Amino acid sequence: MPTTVVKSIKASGGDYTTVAAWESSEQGDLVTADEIQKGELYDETYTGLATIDGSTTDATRYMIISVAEGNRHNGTAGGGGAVIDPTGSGHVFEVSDDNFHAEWLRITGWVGTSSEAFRVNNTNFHLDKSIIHSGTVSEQDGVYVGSNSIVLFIKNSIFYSLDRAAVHIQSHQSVTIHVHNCTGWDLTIGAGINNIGFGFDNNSGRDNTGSVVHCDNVTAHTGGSTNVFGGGGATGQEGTVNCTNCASSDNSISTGPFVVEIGVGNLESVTQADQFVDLSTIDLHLKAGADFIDAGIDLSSDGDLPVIQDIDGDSRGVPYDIGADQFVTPMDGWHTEMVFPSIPDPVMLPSGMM
Amino acid sequence: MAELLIKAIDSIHSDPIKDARGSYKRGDVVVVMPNDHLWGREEHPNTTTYSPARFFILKIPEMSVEQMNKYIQVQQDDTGLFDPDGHRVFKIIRRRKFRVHVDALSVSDLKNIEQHGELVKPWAGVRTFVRDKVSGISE
Repeated sequence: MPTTVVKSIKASGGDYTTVAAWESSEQGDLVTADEIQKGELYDETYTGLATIDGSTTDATRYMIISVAEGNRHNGTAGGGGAVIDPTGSGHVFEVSDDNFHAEWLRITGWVGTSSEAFRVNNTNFHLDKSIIHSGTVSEQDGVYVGSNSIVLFIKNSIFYSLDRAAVHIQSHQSVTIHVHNCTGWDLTIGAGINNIGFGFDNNSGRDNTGSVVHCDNVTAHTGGSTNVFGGGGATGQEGTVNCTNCASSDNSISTGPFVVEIGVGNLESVTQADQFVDLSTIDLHLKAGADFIDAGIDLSSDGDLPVIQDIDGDSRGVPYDIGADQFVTPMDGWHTEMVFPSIPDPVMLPSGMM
Repeated sequence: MAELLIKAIDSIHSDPIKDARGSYKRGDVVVVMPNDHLWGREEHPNTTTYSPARFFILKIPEMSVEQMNKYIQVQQDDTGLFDPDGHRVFKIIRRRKFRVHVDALSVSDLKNIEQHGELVKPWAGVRTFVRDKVSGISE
């Protein structure tokens, strides 16, 4: 059983003040050391970029960037948590180690054309419970694949107001991406090139041979004119997007290029305002009566990427909802307690008093 | 004033290509911060739990963060290729293009680092020890 080494990253009173310093110090042969190296952010704003590289890892011994309990977002951009809002130009995270994990992050406002929140060059990348939103310029993606033959796992995350894509394979082969219970909103807002929400860019001359994006319980809403689910590639070199119990504001699940509908649980042309709590403040929790409630498939035992919580850590119960949030009724999580008035002990009166 | 967090020990990876590209080496500048930055416990040699210390702090009074950010550049090669968006593709070769040649510092400077975990020195006294890793030429 690996030892988890937790280090705090904060402006004052922590082990490190930047993710870059943490990574530079804790990188190494984690397999031999039998360690998970965990860097914990706090409820504050971080402005640096980070490259993850130079470590030896495996599926159980790896580097993870997370947020300390009590400092995590509530599933909305305005709901606290650790915010990464870089000042420099470039990828927020360039991931060149295998098995890197990231969770509970909110990433926004990054700078530079063709820069990504995560540029992933190595396999077994895991992203969970994160909010990636509001890039600043064109050709920016949430997660961009940078190599062939890698596997990515993405769940319980929200992507919104991005110029190009939430999850993007541009021209890489034999890539597999599992996307479970994610929400994309206001995607493909740029008039730029290669726009797509979840999938492959919509230029036809790419070689995406053998690459697949598996979307289960994913909802995507376009802010532009292009498909939110879609494949692409040169003839004979197309990638495929499999949609199972997904939902879209357009009809790209049934008509998007190289999209395969799995089962009968997909929803299309949904009215966005009927699904989410408040689009003016971009609160993408589900509202009562949303079509997405109870419309997902049970992913608790999924062999590739099990899902047991939602964007803000609520437990998912069967039936699953579509999207990053699991709707919680006002009475969920409350315990009813019967309270009886206390009855005083009987008073034994001395004999003869009655 | 700029304060530079300098890696004091080598990280090593068994794959030489990944080692050069990903592992920080002694003398690499990790981050640059403004004057009086509150360094974390593991960043400052006087408070770290690691032995030997993994970093020291180099303070350069008359230089700005913007000027010193040059020294956190990676070394990359132009592949001559273009990505699907038409942008040039660069390949990272080394984690840092420059390094501070720590072992060439004077005995008194090294003693300062050992005793105080930091060194305050004007750029004129530092620049000859800041070298391009490939050419070996000092700044």
